[in-house]
Amino acid sequence: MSGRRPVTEEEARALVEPYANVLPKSLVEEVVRKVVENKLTLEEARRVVDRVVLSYMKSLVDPGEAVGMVAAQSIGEPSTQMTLRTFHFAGVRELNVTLGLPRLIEIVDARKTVSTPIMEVYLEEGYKNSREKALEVARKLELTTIENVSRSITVDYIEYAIIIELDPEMLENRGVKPRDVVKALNRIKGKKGSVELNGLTVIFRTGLEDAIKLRRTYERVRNLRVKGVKGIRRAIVRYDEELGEYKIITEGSNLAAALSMEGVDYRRTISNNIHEIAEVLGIEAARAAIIREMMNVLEEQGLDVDVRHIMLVADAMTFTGRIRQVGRHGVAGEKPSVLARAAFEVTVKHLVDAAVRGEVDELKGVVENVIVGSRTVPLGTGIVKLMMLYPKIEAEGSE
Amino acid sequence: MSTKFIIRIGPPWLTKYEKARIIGARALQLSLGAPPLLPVEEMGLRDPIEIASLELRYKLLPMVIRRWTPGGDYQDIPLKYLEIR
Repeated sequence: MSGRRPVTEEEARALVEPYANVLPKSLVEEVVRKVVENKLTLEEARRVVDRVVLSYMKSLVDPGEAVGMVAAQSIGEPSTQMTLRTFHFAGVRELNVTLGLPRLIEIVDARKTVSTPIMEVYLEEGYKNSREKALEVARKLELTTIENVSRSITVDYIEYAIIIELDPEMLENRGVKPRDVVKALNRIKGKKGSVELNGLTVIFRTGLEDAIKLRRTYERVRNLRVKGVKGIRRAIVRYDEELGEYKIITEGSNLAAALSMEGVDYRRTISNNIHEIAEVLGIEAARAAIIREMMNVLEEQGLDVDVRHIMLVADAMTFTGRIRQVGRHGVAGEKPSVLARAAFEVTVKHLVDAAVRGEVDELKGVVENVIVGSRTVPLGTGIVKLMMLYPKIEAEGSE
Repeated sequence: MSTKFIIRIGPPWLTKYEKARIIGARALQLSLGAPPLLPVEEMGLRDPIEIASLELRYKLLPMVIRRWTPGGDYQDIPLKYLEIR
Protein backbone atom coordinates (compact mmCIF):
# COMPACT_ATOMS: atom_id res chain seq x y z
CA MET A 1 0.00 0.00 0.00
CA SER A 2 1.43 3.39 -0.92
CA GLY A 3 2.35 5.26 2.20
CA ARG A 4 0.43 8.17 3.59
CA ARG A 5 3.24 10.47 2.76
CA PRO A 6 2.64 14.17 2.27
CA VAL A 7 3.19 15.57 -1.20
CA THR A 8 6.14 17.76 -1.96
CA GLU A 9 5.72 21.24 -3.31
CA GLU A 10 6.71 20.17 -6.81
CA GLU A 11 4.12 17.42 -6.82
CA ALA A 12 1.45 19.79 -5.54
CA ARG A 13 2.35 22.30 -8.20
CA ALA A 14 2.23 19.61 -10.86
CA LEU A 15 -1.32 18.79 -9.79
CA VAL A 16 -2.45 22.37 -10.24
CA GLU A 17 -0.40 22.92 -13.38
CA PRO A 18 -3.05 21.83 -15.93
CA TYR A 19 -5.38 24.48 -14.52
CA ALA A 20 -2.85 27.26 -14.38
CA ASN A 21 -4.48 28.99 -17.33
CA VAL A 22 -7.89 28.81 -15.79
CA LEU A 23 -7.27 29.81 -12.20
CA PRO A 24 -5.93 33.17 -11.14
CA LYS A 25 -2.26 33.09 -10.14
CA SER A 26 -2.88 33.98 -6.51
CA LEU A 27 -5.28 31.07 -6.20
CA VAL A 28 -2.76 28.66 -7.69
CA GLU A 29 -0.18 29.78 -5.15
CA GLU A 30 -2.62 29.51 -2.30
CA VAL A 31 -3.67 25.99 -3.22
CA VAL A 32 -0.07 24.80 -3.42
CA ARG A 33 0.71 26.46 -0.13
CA LYS A 34 -2.28 25.01 1.70
CA VAL A 35 -1.70 21.53 0.34
CA VAL A 36 1.88 21.54 1.56
CA GLU A 37 1.03 23.19 4.89
CA ASN A 38 -1.59 20.59 5.70
CA LYS A 39 0.61 17.73 4.60
CA LEU A 40 -1.95 16.15 2.31
CA THR A 41 -1.38 12.90 0.47
CA LEU A 42 -1.38 12.74 -3.29
CA GLU A 43 -4.94 11.50 -3.41
CA GLU A 44 -6.21 14.11 -0.99
CA ALA A 45 -4.36 16.84 -2.83
CA ARG A 46 -5.87 15.77 -6.09
CA ARG A 47 -9.34 15.93 -4.62
CA VAL A 48 -8.68 19.36 -3.17
CA VAL A 49 -7.48 20.70 -6.50
CA ASP A 50 -10.51 19.28 -8.28
CA ARG A 51 -12.81 20.84 -5.75
CA VAL A 52 -11.07 24.21 -5.99
CA VAL A 53 -11.33 24.23 -9.76
CA LEU A 54 -14.98 23.24 -9.61
CA SER A 55 -15.80 25.93 -7.06
CA TYR A 56 -13.96 28.53 -9.06
CA MET A 57 -15.71 27.65 -12.29
CA LYS A 58 -19.06 27.80 -10.56
CA SER A 59 -18.31 31.26 -9.26
CA LEU A 60 -17.70 32.69 -12.71
CA VAL A 61 -20.30 34.91 -14.27
CA ASP A 62 -22.27 33.56 -17.24
CA PRO A 63 -21.59 35.42 -20.46
CA GLY A 64 -24.61 37.59 -21.17
CA GLU A 65 -25.04 38.68 -17.58
CA ALA A 66 -25.81 42.40 -17.24
CA VAL A 67 -22.67 43.09 -15.23
CA GLY A 68 -22.67 46.79 -15.99
CA MET A 69 -26.15 47.28 -14.62
CA VAL A 70 -25.37 45.19 -11.57
CA ALA A 71 -22.15 47.06 -10.93
CA ALA A 72 -23.83 50.43 -11.35
CA GLN A 73 -26.52 49.57 -8.85
CA SER A 74 -24.10 47.94 -6.45
CA ILE A 75 -22.06 51.08 -6.29
CA GLY A 76 -24.92 53.54 -6.63
CA GLU A 77 -27.17 52.24 -3.90
CA PRO A 78 -24.65 52.40 -1.03
CA SER A 79 -23.63 55.83 -2.31
CA THR A 80 -27.01 57.15 -1.29
CA GLN A 81 -26.04 56.34 2.25
CA MET A 82 -22.87 58.34 2.20
CA THR A 83 -22.67 61.38 4.38
CA LEU A 84 -21.08 64.51 3.07
CA ARG A 85 -18.63 65.16 5.85
CA THR A 86 -14.93 65.76 5.31
CA PHE A 87 -12.59 63.86 7.50
CA HIS A 88 -9.66 65.28 9.36
CA PHE A 89 -6.44 63.39 9.52
CA ALA A 90 -6.25 62.39 13.14
CA GLY A 91 -3.91 64.68 14.99
CA VAL A 92 -3.14 67.07 12.21
CA ARG A 93 -5.52 69.94 12.25
CA GLU A 94 -5.14 71.37 8.80
CA LEU A 95 -4.67 68.33 6.62
CA ASN A 96 -8.00 67.46 5.04
CA VAL A 97 -8.65 64.75 2.51
CA THR A 98 -11.75 64.84 0.38
CA LEU A 99 -13.72 61.77 1.25
CA GLY A 100 -17.20 60.48 0.76
CA LEU A 101 -19.45 61.35 -2.13
CA PRO A 102 -17.48 64.39 -3.39
CA ARG A 103 -14.34 62.28 -3.66
CA LEU A 104 -16.18 59.48 -5.45
CA ILE A 105 -17.48 61.99 -7.97
CA GLU A 106 -13.97 63.34 -8.40
CA ILE A 107 -12.59 59.91 -9.21
CA VAL A 108 -15.37 58.90 -11.55
CA ASP A 109 -15.27 62.24 -13.35
CA ALA A 110 -11.53 61.77 -13.83
CA ARG A 111 -10.84 65.32 -12.65
CA LYS A 112 -7.46 66.56 -13.64
CA THR A 113 -7.12 68.77 -10.58
CA VAL A 114 -7.91 67.08 -7.30
CA SER A 115 -9.31 69.22 -4.53
CA THR A 116 -6.98 67.77 -1.87
CA PRO A 117 -3.99 66.26 -3.62
CA ILE A 118 -1.99 64.11 -1.26
CA MET A 119 1.02 61.89 -1.59
CA GLU A 120 2.08 59.12 0.72
CA VAL A 121 5.83 59.03 0.46
CA TYR A 122 7.50 55.92 1.77
CA LEU A 123 11.18 55.87 2.54
CA GLU A 124 13.99 53.52 1.77
CA GLU A 125 16.16 51.53 4.09
CA GLY A 126 18.33 53.79 6.14
CA TYR A 127 15.75 56.54 6.02
CA LYS A 128 12.55 54.91 7.11
CA ASN A 129 13.56 54.10 10.65
CA SER A 130 15.10 57.41 11.55
CA ARG A 131 13.00 60.41 12.35
CA GLU A 132 15.83 62.79 11.55
CA LYS A 133 16.42 61.30 8.15
CA ALA A 134 12.71 61.38 7.48
CA LEU A 135 12.55 65.04 8.43
CA GLU A 136 15.46 65.67 6.11
CA VAL A 137 13.57 64.23 3.18
CA ALA A 138 10.43 66.04 4.24
CA ARG A 139 12.22 69.37 4.21
CA LYS A 140 13.64 68.56 0.82
CA LEU A 141 10.13 68.00 -0.42
CA GLU A 142 8.33 70.86 1.19
CA LEU A 143 8.23 73.90 -0.98
CA THR A 144 9.99 76.87 0.51
CA THR A 145 9.74 80.25 -1.15
CA ILE A 146 11.70 83.37 -0.35
CA GLU A 147 8.67 84.67 1.43
CA ASN A 148 8.74 81.69 3.78
CA VAL A 149 12.20 82.52 5.08
CA SER A 150 12.20 86.32 5.16
CA ARG A 151 11.26 88.73 7.82
CA SER A 152 10.62 91.37 5.20
CA ILE A 153 10.95 91.96 1.51
CA THR A 154 11.02 95.56 0.40
CA VAL A 155 11.37 97.31 -2.90
CA ASP A 156 13.86 100.10 -3.30
CA TYR A 157 12.51 102.27 -6.11
CA ILE A 158 15.55 104.50 -6.17
CA GLU A 159 18.13 101.84 -6.67
CA TYR A 160 15.75 99.50 -8.51
CA ALA A 161 16.60 96.82 -6.02
CA ILE A 162 14.78 94.39 -3.80
CA ILE A 163 15.95 94.06 -0.24
CA ILE A 164 15.31 90.82 1.59
CA GLU A 165 15.71 90.51 5.32
CA LEU A 166 16.10 86.86 6.18
CA ASP A 167 14.75 85.43 9.39
CA PRO A 168 17.20 83.06 11.11
CA GLU A 169 14.53 81.05 12.86
CA MET A 170 12.58 80.40 9.69
CA LEU A 171 15.79 79.59 7.87
CA GLU A 172 16.64 76.98 10.44
CA ASN A 173 13.12 75.58 10.40
CA ARG A 174 13.24 74.92 6.72
CA GLY A 175 16.87 73.91 6.63
CA VAL A 176 17.75 76.73 4.28
CA LYS A 177 20.97 78.70 4.24
CA PRO A 178 21.32 82.30 3.05
CA ARG A 179 23.45 81.20 0.14
CA ASP A 180 20.58 79.00 -1.06
CA VAL A 181 18.56 82.18 -1.34
CA VAL A 182 21.37 83.80 -3.26
CA LYS A 183 21.57 80.80 -5.55
CA ALA A 184 17.86 80.97 -6.23
CA LEU A 185 18.03 84.66 -7.01
CA ASN A 186 21.00 84.14 -9.25
CA ARG A 187 18.83 81.94 -11.37
CA ILE A 188 16.46 84.73 -12.26
CA LYS A 189 18.66 87.77 -12.04
CA GLY A 190 19.13 88.28 -15.74
CA LYS A 191 22.01 89.98 -17.48
CA LYS A 192 22.06 93.23 -15.61
CA GLY A 193 21.13 92.01 -12.15
CA SER A 194 23.38 91.30 -9.25
CA VAL A 195 22.89 89.69 -5.90
CA GLU A 196 24.75 90.65 -2.78
CA LEU A 197 24.70 88.94 0.56
CA ASN A 198 25.31 90.89 3.73
CA GLY A 199 24.91 88.73 6.78
CA LEU A 200 21.19 88.13 6.84
CA THR A 201 20.32 90.72 4.24
CA VAL A 202 20.18 89.99 0.56
CA ILE A 203 20.25 92.88 -1.87
CA PHE A 204 19.06 92.06 -5.32
CA ARG A 205 19.93 94.81 -7.71
CA THR A 206 17.71 94.13 -10.64
CA GLY A 207 19.39 96.40 -13.15
CA LEU A 208 15.97 97.29 -14.46
CA GLU A 209 14.79 100.72 -15.42
CA ASP A 210 11.06 100.19 -15.52
CA ALA A 211 9.08 100.57 -12.33
CA ILE A 212 6.32 98.27 -13.52
CA LYS A 213 8.79 95.54 -14.37
CA LEU A 214 10.32 96.07 -10.98
CA ARG A 215 7.01 95.49 -9.33
CA ARG A 216 6.53 92.31 -11.29
CA THR A 217 9.97 91.12 -10.35
CA TYR A 218 9.13 91.78 -6.75
CA GLU A 219 6.18 89.39 -7.02
CA ARG A 220 8.36 86.79 -8.66
CA VAL A 221 10.93 87.10 -5.95
CA ARG A 222 8.39 86.64 -3.21
CA ASN A 223 7.20 83.35 -4.66
CA LEU A 224 10.57 82.20 -5.87
CA ARG A 225 11.31 78.61 -5.02
CA VAL A 226 14.30 78.34 -2.74
CA LYS A 227 14.03 74.75 -1.74
CA GLY A 228 11.66 71.89 -2.20
CA VAL A 229 9.47 70.50 -4.89
CA LYS A 230 6.96 72.48 -6.86
CA GLY A 231 3.43 71.79 -5.81
CA ILE A 232 4.18 70.40 -2.38
CA ARG A 233 2.74 72.80 0.08
CA ARG A 234 3.55 70.85 3.21
CA ALA A 235 5.34 67.64 4.07
CA ILE A 236 4.61 65.98 7.38
CA VAL A 237 6.44 63.08 8.90
CA ARG A 238 4.31 60.44 10.56
CA TYR A 239 5.04 57.17 12.20
CA ASP A 240 3.10 54.28 10.71
CA GLU A 241 2.14 51.88 13.47
CA GLU A 242 1.43 48.92 11.22
CA LEU A 243 4.61 49.09 9.23
CA GLY A 244 6.79 50.32 12.05
CA GLU A 245 8.45 52.97 9.99
CA TYR A 246 8.32 56.66 9.27
CA LYS A 247 6.55 57.94 6.23
CA ILE A 248 5.80 61.37 4.84
CA ILE A 249 2.38 62.70 4.00
CA THR A 250 2.40 65.68 1.67
CA GLU A 251 -0.22 68.23 0.96
CA GLY A 252 0.11 68.74 -2.75
CA SER A 253 1.23 66.18 -5.24
CA ASN A 254 4.23 65.99 -7.54
CA LEU A 255 4.86 62.34 -8.14
CA ALA A 256 7.54 62.69 -10.79
CA ALA A 257 9.75 64.81 -8.59
CA ALA A 258 9.12 62.85 -5.42
CA LEU A 259 9.89 59.47 -6.93
CA SER A 260 13.30 60.56 -8.11
CA MET A 261 14.26 62.07 -4.79
CA GLU A 262 16.96 60.45 -2.73
CA GLY A 263 15.72 58.42 0.19
CA VAL A 264 12.30 57.90 -1.32
CA ASP A 265 11.13 54.37 -1.92
CA TYR A 266 9.83 54.74 -5.45
CA ARG A 267 8.11 51.38 -5.36
CA ARG A 268 5.66 52.20 -2.62
CA THR A 269 5.11 55.91 -2.87
CA ILE A 270 1.65 56.83 -4.11
CA SER A 271 -0.48 59.80 -4.92
CA ASN A 272 -4.21 60.27 -4.93
CA ASN A 273 -4.18 62.11 -8.23
CA ILE A 274 -5.20 59.51 -10.80
CA HIS A 275 -4.04 61.51 -13.80
CA GLU A 276 -0.64 61.99 -12.32
CA ILE A 277 -0.31 58.29 -11.71
CA ALA A 278 -1.31 57.60 -15.30
CA GLU A 279 1.32 60.03 -16.54
CA VAL A 280 4.14 58.87 -14.32
CA LEU A 281 3.44 55.20 -13.75
CA GLY A 282 1.26 54.19 -16.67
CA ILE A 283 -2.34 53.27 -17.35
CA GLU A 284 -2.34 49.94 -15.51
CA ALA A 285 -1.13 51.69 -12.40
CA ALA A 286 -3.87 54.25 -12.89
CA ARG A 287 -6.42 51.47 -13.06
CA ALA A 288 -5.15 50.04 -9.80
CA ALA A 289 -5.21 53.51 -8.30
CA ILE A 290 -8.83 54.05 -9.31
CA ILE A 291 -9.78 50.78 -7.65
CA ARG A 292 -7.79 51.61 -4.54
CA GLU A 293 -9.21 55.09 -4.18
CA MET A 294 -12.81 54.06 -4.75
CA MET A 295 -12.60 51.13 -2.34
CA ASN A 296 -11.06 53.50 0.15
CA VAL A 297 -13.92 55.97 -0.10
CA LEU A 298 -16.57 53.30 0.34
CA GLU A 299 -14.80 51.48 3.14
CA GLU A 300 -14.16 54.68 5.01
CA GLN A 301 -17.89 55.38 4.99
CA GLY A 302 -18.50 51.91 6.35
CA LEU A 303 -20.00 50.55 3.14
CA ASP A 304 -19.22 47.10 1.87
CA VAL A 305 -19.11 46.93 -1.92
CA ASP A 306 -17.58 43.95 -3.66
CA VAL A 307 -14.38 44.97 -5.40
CA ARG A 308 -15.36 43.44 -8.73
CA HIS A 309 -18.01 46.06 -9.36
CA ILE A 310 -15.40 48.72 -8.89
CA MET A 311 -12.95 46.75 -11.02
CA LEU A 312 -15.48 46.89 -13.82
CA VAL A 313 -15.76 50.67 -13.56
CA ALA A 314 -11.98 51.03 -13.49
CA ASP A 315 -11.62 48.78 -16.51
CA ALA A 316 -14.27 50.67 -18.44
CA MET A 317 -12.49 53.92 -17.67
CA THR A 318 -9.02 52.74 -18.67
CA PHE A 319 -9.23 50.01 -21.28
CA THR A 320 -8.70 52.36 -24.21
CA GLY A 321 -5.30 53.29 -22.83
CA ARG A 322 -6.15 56.68 -21.43
CA ILE A 323 -8.35 57.64 -18.52
CA ARG A 324 -11.87 58.42 -19.66
CA GLN A 325 -14.42 60.13 -17.49
CA VAL A 326 -17.61 58.15 -17.00
CA GLY A 327 -19.78 60.99 -18.26
CA ARG A 328 -20.59 62.41 -21.65
CA HIS A 329 -16.97 63.35 -22.40
CA GLY A 330 -15.81 59.81 -21.86
CA VAL A 331 -17.30 56.36 -21.65
CA ALA A 332 -20.91 57.32 -22.29
CA GLY A 333 -20.10 59.91 -24.93
CA GLU A 334 -17.91 57.64 -27.00
CA LYS A 335 -20.55 55.05 -27.74
CA PRO A 336 -20.98 54.46 -31.46
CA SER A 337 -24.76 54.43 -31.26
CA VAL A 338 -26.57 57.72 -31.83
CA LEU A 339 -29.63 56.66 -29.90
CA ALA A 340 -27.54 55.60 -26.93
CA ARG A 341 -25.83 58.96 -26.74
CA ALA A 342 -29.06 60.81 -27.27
CA ALA A 343 -30.64 58.83 -24.45
CA PHE A 344 -27.86 59.86 -22.12
CA GLU A 345 -27.49 63.63 -22.36
CA VAL A 346 -27.88 66.54 -24.80
CA THR A 347 -30.56 64.65 -26.68
CA VAL A 348 -31.50 67.11 -29.38
CA LYS A 349 -27.95 67.96 -30.37
CA HIS A 350 -27.04 64.31 -30.99
CA LEU A 351 -30.16 63.63 -33.00
CA VAL A 352 -29.84 66.74 -35.11
CA ASP A 353 -26.12 66.26 -35.83
CA ALA A 354 -26.70 62.63 -36.74
CA ALA A 355 -29.56 63.51 -39.06
CA VAL A 356 -27.54 66.18 -40.78
CA ARG A 357 -24.67 63.76 -41.34
CA GLY A 358 -26.87 60.90 -42.37
CA GLU A 359 -25.54 58.64 -39.66
CA VAL A 360 -26.60 55.03 -39.34
CA ASP A 361 -27.24 53.36 -36.00
CA GLU A 362 -26.39 49.69 -36.29
CA LEU A 363 -28.44 48.76 -33.23
CA LYS A 364 -25.67 46.60 -31.84
CA GLY A 365 -25.82 47.70 -28.24
CA VAL A 366 -28.25 47.32 -25.39
CA VAL A 367 -29.60 50.85 -25.05
CA GLU A 368 -30.57 51.36 -28.65
CA ASN A 369 -32.35 48.03 -28.86
CA VAL A 370 -34.37 48.79 -25.77
CA ILE A 371 -35.39 52.13 -27.23
CA VAL A 372 -36.34 50.65 -30.54
CA GLY A 373 -38.18 47.82 -28.81
CA SER A 374 -36.54 45.04 -30.81
CA ARG A 375 -37.46 41.48 -30.07
CA THR A 376 -34.03 40.61 -28.83
CA VAL A 377 -31.88 42.93 -26.78
CA PRO A 378 -28.24 41.72 -26.85
CA LEU A 379 -28.20 40.87 -23.16
CA GLY A 380 -28.81 37.60 -21.32
CA THR A 381 -31.06 35.35 -23.40
CA GLY A 382 -30.80 37.74 -26.32
CA ILE A 383 -27.20 36.79 -26.80
CA VAL A 384 -27.98 33.15 -27.45
CA LYS A 385 -28.14 32.11 -31.08
CA LEU A 386 -29.88 28.82 -31.59
CA MET A 387 -29.86 26.53 -34.60
CA MET A 388 -31.48 23.21 -35.37
CA LEU A 389 -29.33 20.26 -36.23
CA TYR A 390 -30.91 18.04 -38.85
CA PRO A 391 -28.97 14.76 -38.86
CA LYS A 392 -29.75 13.74 -42.42
CA ILE A 393 -29.13 17.12 -44.05
CA GLU A 394 -25.75 18.58 -43.09
CA ALA A 395 -26.78 22.25 -43.52
CA GLU A 396 -28.18 24.27 -40.58
CA GLY A 397 -31.50 26.05 -40.52
CA SER A 398 -31.83 28.96 -38.15
CA GLU A 399 -34.23 29.43 -35.30
CA MET B 1 -9.02 7.62 -31.17
CA SER B 2 -11.89 10.05 -31.58
CA THR B 3 -10.92 13.71 -31.37
CA LYS B 4 -12.49 15.51 -28.46
CA PHE B 5 -14.67 18.48 -29.20
CA ILE B 6 -12.97 21.55 -27.74
CA ILE B 7 -15.07 24.50 -26.76
CA ARG B 8 -13.19 27.62 -27.72
CA ILE B 9 -15.69 30.26 -26.73
CA GLY B 10 -17.44 30.62 -23.41
CA PRO B 11 -17.63 28.23 -20.46
CA PRO B 12 -17.79 24.43 -20.91
CA TRP B 13 -21.27 24.35 -19.46
CA LEU B 14 -24.62 25.56 -20.66
CA THR B 15 -25.15 29.11 -19.40
CA LYS B 16 -28.38 29.96 -17.63
CA TYR B 17 -29.33 32.17 -20.55
CA GLU B 18 -28.67 29.46 -23.10
CA LYS B 19 -30.76 27.06 -21.07
CA ALA B 20 -33.63 29.53 -20.80
CA ARG B 21 -33.51 30.26 -24.51
CA ILE B 22 -33.50 26.62 -25.47
CA ILE B 23 -36.36 25.64 -23.23
CA GLY B 24 -38.31 28.67 -24.39
CA ALA B 25 -37.76 27.99 -28.07
CA ARG B 26 -38.57 24.30 -27.76
CA ALA B 27 -41.67 24.99 -25.68
CA LEU B 28 -42.83 27.42 -28.37
CA GLN B 29 -42.34 24.76 -31.03
CA LEU B 30 -44.30 22.24 -28.99
CA SER B 31 -47.07 24.71 -28.38
CA LEU B 32 -47.36 25.26 -32.12
CA GLY B 33 -47.81 21.56 -32.71
CA ALA B 34 -44.34 20.05 -33.06
CA PRO B 35 -44.14 16.35 -32.17
CA PRO B 36 -42.55 15.78 -28.75
CA LEU B 37 -39.44 13.66 -28.50
CA LEU B 38 -40.59 12.02 -25.28
CA PRO B 39 -43.52 9.65 -24.65
CA VAL B 40 -45.63 12.37 -23.12
CA GLU B 41 -48.91 10.45 -22.80
CA GLU B 42 -47.19 7.74 -20.83
CA MET B 43 -45.41 10.26 -18.63
CA GLY B 44 -48.54 12.32 -18.14
CA LEU B 45 -46.88 15.52 -19.32
CA ARG B 46 -49.03 18.33 -20.69
CA ASP B 47 -47.12 21.56 -20.09
CA PRO B 48 -44.84 22.43 -23.04
CA ILE B 49 -42.29 24.04 -20.75
CA GLU B 50 -42.15 20.92 -18.62
CA ILE B 51 -41.80 18.74 -21.69
CA ALA B 52 -39.09 20.97 -23.14
CA SER B 53 -37.14 20.95 -19.86
CA LEU B 54 -37.15 17.16 -19.77
CA GLU B 55 -36.19 16.90 -23.42
CA LEU B 56 -33.20 19.11 -22.64
CA ARG B 57 -32.28 17.20 -19.52
CA TYR B 58 -32.27 13.89 -21.37
CA LYS B 59 -30.21 15.45 -24.16
CA LEU B 60 -32.81 14.64 -26.78
CA LEU B 61 -32.77 18.03 -28.50
CA PRO B 62 -30.92 18.28 -31.83
CA MET B 63 -29.84 21.87 -31.39
CA VAL B 64 -26.67 23.83 -31.88
CA ILE B 65 -25.60 27.01 -30.15
CA ARG B 66 -23.55 29.53 -32.08
CA ARG B 67 -21.42 31.45 -29.62
CA TRP B 68 -20.03 34.75 -30.83
CA THR B 69 -17.07 36.77 -29.61
CA PRO B 70 -17.29 40.57 -29.70
CA GLY B 71 -14.63 40.47 -32.39
CA GLY B 72 -16.88 38.60 -34.81
CA ASP B 73 -15.51 35.13 -34.27
CA TYR B 74 -17.93 32.32 -33.61
CA GLN B 75 -18.13 28.62 -32.81
CA ASP B 76 -21.02 26.23 -33.33
CA ILE B 77 -21.46 23.94 -30.34
CA PRO B 78 -23.88 21.02 -30.48
CA LEU B 79 -25.86 20.72 -27.28
CA LYS B 80 -24.50 17.33 -26.40
CA TYR B 81 -21.09 18.82 -25.64
CA LEU B 82 -22.36 21.26 -23.08
CA GLU B 83 -22.78 20.08 -19.50
CA ILE B 84 -25.98 20.98 -17.82
CA ARG B 85 -25.36 22.47 -14.40
